[in-house]
Amino acid sequence: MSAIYQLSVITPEKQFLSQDADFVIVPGIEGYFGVLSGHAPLVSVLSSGELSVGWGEHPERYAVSGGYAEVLPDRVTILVERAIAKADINIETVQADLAEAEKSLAGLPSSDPERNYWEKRRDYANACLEVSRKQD
Amino acid sequence: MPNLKSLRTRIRSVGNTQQITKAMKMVAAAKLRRSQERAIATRPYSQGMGRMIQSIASMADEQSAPPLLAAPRGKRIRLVVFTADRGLCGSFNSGIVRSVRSKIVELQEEGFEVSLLCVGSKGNDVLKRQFGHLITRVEVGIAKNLSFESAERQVSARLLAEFERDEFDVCLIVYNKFLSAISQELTWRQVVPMPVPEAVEDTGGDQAGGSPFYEPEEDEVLKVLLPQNVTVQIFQALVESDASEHGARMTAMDNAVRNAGDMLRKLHTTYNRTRQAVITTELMEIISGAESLKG
Repeated sequence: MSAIYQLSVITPEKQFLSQDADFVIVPGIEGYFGVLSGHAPLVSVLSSGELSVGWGEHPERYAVSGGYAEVLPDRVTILVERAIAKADINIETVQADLAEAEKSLAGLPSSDPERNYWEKRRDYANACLEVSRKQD
Repeated sequence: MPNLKSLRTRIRSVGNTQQITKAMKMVAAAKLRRSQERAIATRPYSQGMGRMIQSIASMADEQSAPPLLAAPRGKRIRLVVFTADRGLCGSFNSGIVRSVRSKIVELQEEGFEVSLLCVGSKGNDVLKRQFGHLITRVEVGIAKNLSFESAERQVSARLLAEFERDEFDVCLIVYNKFLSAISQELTWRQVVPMPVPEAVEDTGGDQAGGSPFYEPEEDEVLKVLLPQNVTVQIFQALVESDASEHGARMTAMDNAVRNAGDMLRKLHTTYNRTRQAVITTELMEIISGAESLKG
């Protein structure tokens, strides 16, 4: 039994999640970290990866692209560019996406501003694949 | 007095125009609903972003602040003008253009060097006549397939690259903020450098836990957060502008439908009067002809 806090996951296009949670694992840029209620205030940059909500063997799993997390004792706000629930991941489209991103990256010089965009696409696709492979 | 044939043609053409404007109004209303939802759905993200930046920026010290946050390094201003790609939406485009025009003059008088980036072809169409040499780039067709990624790739990534290459010092954006289907608010906002937030402790209770930790270091966080914030602001401007455009077009087309209706009514009256006059004249001719035959 642990205390709950307010979790919101927001993408530029919509409020993706807004719910109570007691435990969340977030893909911080320096490694995954777990957040319980009453966590010390923290602002972290996130890399793309898996966001899991809830305790135990069967957390709800989501794939997220890079973004930011703001942790306050009673509230966690996660801003990411894209997010998707594990059940909604379509492996074929993700793989097509990944292939497209890698192809585009291979053809771009290292200074191109477009690179950043395609790298993000690739990392997000990889995160989706990784999450979809997890056993529940 | 106009003849009957030309009146009939006129009535038909006004009727057709009314049909078209009615259809356009319906299309705009349908699009408006979608854009409106999107405009509203974007707000939480940019608010969250604003809050985060505010808490970090208020702690960053003046000297080490990154260029996106520090005081402007010179007097070159880039204006990003958000207009529609298409017309027929009332004063939507002309309002922006008018405001931009007076702003350019004002800035030039103060000794700023102004350059323009037009997002949406209508702004470019009008501004190029007077300020063609100031326009650096025109982005057309973003609204058709609007997403956060397209905003980033087509507008902000290049804008930030140009800032890095030291092509301008300050960037202002101007767009119509969506208030409701019938009203928009012309909004100027500075995005580069990010205006330093003044209020430090307005959120009171939230700050009770003391200053937060940063992962990685706070200047590192700022370094990624600030460009992202520019993108967010530009995306927000795009969706707000898109929703406003459909709202403005709906209102404009609604007025046009009503005007066409008024015009039709007047034309019908004239038509009927003319027809009656013609009949009366013909009758009088027949009667007087018959009378003269009676002799």
